[in-house]
Amino acid sequence: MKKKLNLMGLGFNNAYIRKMLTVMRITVLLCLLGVLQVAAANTYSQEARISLDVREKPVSDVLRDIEEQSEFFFLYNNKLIDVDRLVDVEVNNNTITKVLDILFDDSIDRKIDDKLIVLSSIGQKNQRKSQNQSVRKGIVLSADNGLSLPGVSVVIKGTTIGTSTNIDGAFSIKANAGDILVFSFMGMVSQEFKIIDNRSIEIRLSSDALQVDEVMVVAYGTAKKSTFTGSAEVIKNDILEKTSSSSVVTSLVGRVAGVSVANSNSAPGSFPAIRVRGYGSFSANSNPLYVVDGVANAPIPANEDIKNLTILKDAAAASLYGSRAANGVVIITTKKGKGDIKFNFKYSHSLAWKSPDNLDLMGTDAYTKKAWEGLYNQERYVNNNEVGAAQYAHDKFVETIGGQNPYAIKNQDGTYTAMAQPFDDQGNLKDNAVKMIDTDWLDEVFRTAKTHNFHVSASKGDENSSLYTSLSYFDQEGIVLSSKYKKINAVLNTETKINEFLTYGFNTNLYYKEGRSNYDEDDSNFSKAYIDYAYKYNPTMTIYELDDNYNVKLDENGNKMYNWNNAISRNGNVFAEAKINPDGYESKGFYASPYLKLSLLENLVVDVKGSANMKSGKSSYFLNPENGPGKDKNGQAYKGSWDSKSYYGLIMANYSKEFENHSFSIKLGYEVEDYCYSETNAASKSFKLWENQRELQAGEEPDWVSSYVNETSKISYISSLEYGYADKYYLSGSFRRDGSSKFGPNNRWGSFWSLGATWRLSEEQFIKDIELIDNLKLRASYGVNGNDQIDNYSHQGLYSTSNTYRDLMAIKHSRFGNSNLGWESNKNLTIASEFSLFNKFSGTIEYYSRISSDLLLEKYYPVSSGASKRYENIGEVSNKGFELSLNYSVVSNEKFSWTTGITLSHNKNEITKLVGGDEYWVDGQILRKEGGAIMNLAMKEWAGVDPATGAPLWSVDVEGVDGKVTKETTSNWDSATLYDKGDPAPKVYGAWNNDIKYKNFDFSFQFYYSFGGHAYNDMAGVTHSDGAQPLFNLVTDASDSWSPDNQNARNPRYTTYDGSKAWYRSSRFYEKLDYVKLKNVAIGYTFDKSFLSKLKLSNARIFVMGENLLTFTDFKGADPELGFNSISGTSNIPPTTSITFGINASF
Amino acid sequence: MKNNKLYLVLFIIMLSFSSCDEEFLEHNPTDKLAEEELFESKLSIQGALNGIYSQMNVPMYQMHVPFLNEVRADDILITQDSWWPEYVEIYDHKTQSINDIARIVWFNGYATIDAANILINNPLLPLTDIDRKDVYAQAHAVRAMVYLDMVGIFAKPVFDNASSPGLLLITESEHGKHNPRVSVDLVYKQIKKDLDFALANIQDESDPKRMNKTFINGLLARYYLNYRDYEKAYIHASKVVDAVALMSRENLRYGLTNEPSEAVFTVYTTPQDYNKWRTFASIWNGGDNAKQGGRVYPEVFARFAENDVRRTFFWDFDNWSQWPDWFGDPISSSLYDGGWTNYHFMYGKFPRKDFECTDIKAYLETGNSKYVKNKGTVSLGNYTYMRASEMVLVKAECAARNGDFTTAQDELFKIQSRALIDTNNPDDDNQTSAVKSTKTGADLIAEIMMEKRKELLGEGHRMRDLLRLGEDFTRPASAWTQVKNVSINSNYVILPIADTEININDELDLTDQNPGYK
Repeated sequence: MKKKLNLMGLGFNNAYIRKMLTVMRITVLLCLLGVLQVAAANTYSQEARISLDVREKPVSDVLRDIEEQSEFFFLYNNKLIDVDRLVDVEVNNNTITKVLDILFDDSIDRKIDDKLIVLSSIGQKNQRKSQNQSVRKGIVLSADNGLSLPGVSVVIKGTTIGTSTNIDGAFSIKANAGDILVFSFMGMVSQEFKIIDNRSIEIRLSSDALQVDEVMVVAYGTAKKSTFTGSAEVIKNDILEKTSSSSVVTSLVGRVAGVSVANSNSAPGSFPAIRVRGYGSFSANSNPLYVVDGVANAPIPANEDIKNLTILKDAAAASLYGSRAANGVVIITTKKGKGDIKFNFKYSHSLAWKSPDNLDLMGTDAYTKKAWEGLYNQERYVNNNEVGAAQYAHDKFVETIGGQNPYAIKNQDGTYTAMAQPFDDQGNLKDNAVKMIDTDWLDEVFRTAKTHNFHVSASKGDENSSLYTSLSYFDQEGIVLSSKYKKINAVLNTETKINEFLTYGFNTNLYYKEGRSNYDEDDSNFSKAYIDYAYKYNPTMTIYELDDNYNVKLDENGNKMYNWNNAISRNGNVFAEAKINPDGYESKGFYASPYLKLSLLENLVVDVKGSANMKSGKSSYFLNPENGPGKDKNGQAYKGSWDSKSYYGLIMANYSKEFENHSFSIKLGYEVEDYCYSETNAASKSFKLWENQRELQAGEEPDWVSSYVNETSKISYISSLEYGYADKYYLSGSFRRDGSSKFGPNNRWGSFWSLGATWRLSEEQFIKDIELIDNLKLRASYGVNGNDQIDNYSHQGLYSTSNTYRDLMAIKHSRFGNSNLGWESNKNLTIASEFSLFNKFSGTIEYYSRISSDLLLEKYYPVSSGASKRYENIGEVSNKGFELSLNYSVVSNEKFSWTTGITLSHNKNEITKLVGGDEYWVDGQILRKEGGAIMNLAMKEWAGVDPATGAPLWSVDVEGVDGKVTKETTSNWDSATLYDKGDPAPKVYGAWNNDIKYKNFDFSFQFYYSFGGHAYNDMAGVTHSDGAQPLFNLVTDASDSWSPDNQNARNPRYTTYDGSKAWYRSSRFYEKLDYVKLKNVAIGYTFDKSFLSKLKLSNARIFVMGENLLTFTDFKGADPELGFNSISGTSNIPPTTSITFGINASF
Repeated sequence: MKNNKLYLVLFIIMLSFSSCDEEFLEHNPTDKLAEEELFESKLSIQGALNGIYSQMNVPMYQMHVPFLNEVRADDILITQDSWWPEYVEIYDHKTQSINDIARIVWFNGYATIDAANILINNPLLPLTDIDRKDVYAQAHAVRAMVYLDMVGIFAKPVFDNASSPGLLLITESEHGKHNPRVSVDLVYKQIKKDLDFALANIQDESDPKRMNKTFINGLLARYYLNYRDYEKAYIHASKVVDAVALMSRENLRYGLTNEPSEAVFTVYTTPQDYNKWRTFASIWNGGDNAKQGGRVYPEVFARFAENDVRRTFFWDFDNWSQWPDWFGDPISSSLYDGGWTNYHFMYGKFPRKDFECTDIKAYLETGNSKYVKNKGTVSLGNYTYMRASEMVLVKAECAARNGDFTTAQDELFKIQSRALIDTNNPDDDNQTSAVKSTKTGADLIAEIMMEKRKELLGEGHRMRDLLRLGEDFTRPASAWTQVKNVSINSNYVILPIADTEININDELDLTDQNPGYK
């Protein structure tokens, strides 16, 4: 590149060549692929020595001789330059200049650009070269494995003339000397070759993936990884192909140090939780910004449409995104058309089920034994009636477990009769008791779920235009009964170079999705209780009604009758509700982003980009009037619809210049964004003809209505400067000013900036001499970015009109405004080193410090003033940590390669300032105070079971007369002291990744680990109610409870309607969250080209992969990943284990 | 040519840079009013006025103010199964400063005062003079009413504790302001000022749906009772008695949840603004499980004579068992074991608002569901905060205390004659077997006070009387009553100031907390 620019700088004047080179430069710039080879220093022409001894030879032959014995190649038009002239030349170890002086007189101008020598005839410089076509032949091989590549597109640059390689990778094409051939192949980096002569051409194409390591897509542009001053990681498409999830985020798991990802809820279609470098804000949202092809918050396409992802972690990388970059940025680059028309087809089929866990719930025998024991203990210890305790337990047994007696006696005629007293006086099940009911509710509510994923794409491209289009269909069943998710997504990306100044393109995305789940972005209704109740229902509760003989009752149509007499969820039956109550959502979206690239001056490119993202959706549910939660309202129908529009515009000028050892790049831009969301919801109740009339007006009474519009907008001024010197030193700086409508007029504008520097030590001579070091780089950056993720209109004092009194509109104060509300800011420092040794071992180690200040926090005011709180900029949080990622190439040859790598992250989160030393409680569980972490948990401290009485004990701080505090125990939960349990976040987490290729097989696996973390296990509390909730099922661990014979039991005395609060929140259920997971295994086989060509296929791979196959943990909840947010709840759907089979073929 | 393109683009850039940024960044919500829009029109001012009533409604007056006056006193009991454990704490004198009821009453009381202050402190320019005065008068009346109730919940009685800590006295509208606690005396002075202003300027005579002149007289009567100024209390109570006629016995049978004809001020619920379990009616009519509501001691039930129409308001086990889908399965209730049959609740006095029945008399006497046309919506019922019967009894009490026994006997007889059915003519609601009292002095006063307890049972008045009279009291024994003998000076009789207020308000520290609470 530099060389060619210099060529122009020297005033080379052949318009055709110059244009060609310009085109090339632009193409290269715009394709952002950096095909450019970094040239050796411009000294070859001075150093190379030529020796010739020819007689009566044509000039052309002499030039060829020179090319053969040196690395020079000549470019000339033999119509303009007489190369048939016979010459005698005798030189010995002379420079090329000398040789050319001998060969040509002054009428021939020769420009020497390192190894390229261009000859032209003075006075005829502007003449076009005439045609002198001849057939050129060659072969295209894979640089990775040396195999020939069939189907590679070979096009003469600037024309539509082209061909493609045959089965052996060979091609022939008619072309001129001086023509540039462009070789392109899907998944490979395109290459250009300038024809000099008729010699056979051999081209080696390397796979795209390698190239991506070199040039990364970063904020508003690209950067070379080797020189980049910021902290960024690239995830290539092949990693994406190794996850079965619908979500692109899943591919980040364990691949990028400092980024933690967990499936804290695995409803179909849901998005995993992601956090980059810890919690930086009190606001619930710690999600990074997603940028798709340069547009923030554009729809995220199907995994198959994505070329790669870049994660920007530090200020130098992300500050250019200013206001939204506080939690990191994920930049997604989609695929573009390349080469001849190509079709790709992919199909995969997955089976998923609930991952095995340590949560072992009781069956009927164990549960009922506990229920009987609880009654016995209640009468004996609470009512002090030891003599009558057994009889009391016999009498109350059936009522206490929910009304259905699971035990019967078999009659002589084969029928069954409920057994009046299935237990003996010691609480042991009698031998003749026949167990008639043993419902495994988890088994009923969870299922093995299927997922189909189709994807078909077509692509085509040359240097003037490219086209990529795809259609994908993702159809997923949830592992919870009736939950599902379907998405159809279409993509069309095109780009056309109208002329050398102007390139036009647009990206479009259309989607339709529908589903039923509990946590999808579009669906937020009650159904989450499905899981919650499935864990609580005890095994004597049945799905269907039973008759006296324990047979399922049938209705007049012969259908099984659901049992609605469920004592836990009044009139409820989660299985039946999932089956018969309709519930679901759908949404559709249209997204288009047109753009222009204007190459105005040689070094100035202006990007103009716009986008419109239109989405709409609706959701509904119907609760039937006869049973379940709809009974109170005689049936309820709900319909909601929403609509969102967002517009985006960017104009950005990019000027870059290189001279001698200096390179500059300056960006100036203006960005504007507008987002509008509206929603309408209504519900009605009292349905009579509900079996087929469920529209709102079929309800006899309206229930509620609501609608609103939410609008935000943002304006940004962007600038950045990059400077490099001698490929060794790089500096970058950015400055951005953002205005957000979320803040008051006084503090609406925020300034964000960054400074970064890179020193490539390996380019210094003293390192260059050390053979083992291939690459060594130090970089550091500091900068500020911001966050405005708070509710809209937070700065305004507002009055709500949504109330009524006696059916008249009533206006009430609803928000205490703060016109000074402004940006939350993040100050990021990163120091890092990247290295690569022995050509085998490479890695990055980073230290960072991230201080978030002016946090957007609700400050509390006296409620007596009529307003209790408002958002203010208060508080400060710091995240400090280090990240390590190491890669080692164990084997690397054409047949066998194995790369192994680990990532390791450590983060320490601390609230360094809170206004006035205040403490904040979140949901009564998280205690936020100075010196603690954002997710700091506080709770009462479990002190075991009193061996004398079986009562639960907690710690309590008692202040003595001398003021000294001693820790004692109490059996009164209310008076126990709340202890700070500290930050439950893991101390280290990361993964061990392996990618192996052997011949046509590829194999990869990943172990993910997390150590030093804790979580409060809500599920354990619910399933250890100690009799306080006698209807709730128990985990098997609960069978070890106190009795006079078992005084050292883990659990307190099991007592029906236990009032000890032993199952309340305490460290009894605060557990270690250490775990190792075999997160991902993928095996693929790529078919031989020779075999495929018979099938008219150019490429085909079959694969099978598994996710969450093994988990090693002591955590007793449903899955350790549910503890990601430090509280493992009872209603989240746990991560699934899945196996996926698939095929991917191109033709 | 090339330069032209450059200029064009630069021009576009310039254009975009110079656009109206600030305007582009201004948005207003479509479902809310900005502060400056609130007083722009008559309609929005009317909305803000409705907002005061809405603010005082659920859960303040539709729930906590009346129920607190019962739970703290000696006529009703609640069990440990109560739907709101914080009420059990108050009943059992285990209240802590983190008690949610104390917080909610504090918060909603001041939110109502704030809603009034917003109007009081605005010139209300779009209104005519008369309308403006009327709006101001309503806002002042509400403010006085809320202060009068809150001072009875959070502070000692005024008659001998005038200088003890009262409330934060807030009359300006300044959100976020830290206000100090002032003496009971100062709070009462402000209440008097507000009531005087309201009485002078209010437009309406006696519409119970809004603040009205009669109601303000009723509040003044209560005000003077607290000072034990029976002469002035008599004057104001008489004005109420003169303005609003007592309802008939027949009408009384329909209960109190539909704005009885003798209502002086009623707090409404509509399906749009009640939440299940959070309205006054829900205490008595349950919905899921009656064991979680309130009920009366057998001793209290026993006060009602066999021919007392008010006795039919009580439901016992037999009634309950007819309505398992209303009140849960009685057999499985823990109350059954504890002797449910002795404990009554008063569904009949506070029926669901949309309850319909074909023969109310037969229904109340038998409890038979065959008379029911529409069982009504759970929790839906208006709460009548003041009705003429209270003022008749106040008038009687004041007269008796002032030595005017004849008037006292006459007023008392109004209530008694309505209540007692003529045993010889049980179907004639115009006849009575009541006999006018001939008692005088302390005996007469005691009879009047007992009649008041019976007439207003469950309506949230009992604690007001205990406080102003400084009477210790005794709760009958039950399995659920841990605190039986209560000194009126007990710390637990008044509630703690919400801990959140003490923690956050710079003008307050722990020494400002009511004694006994830390």
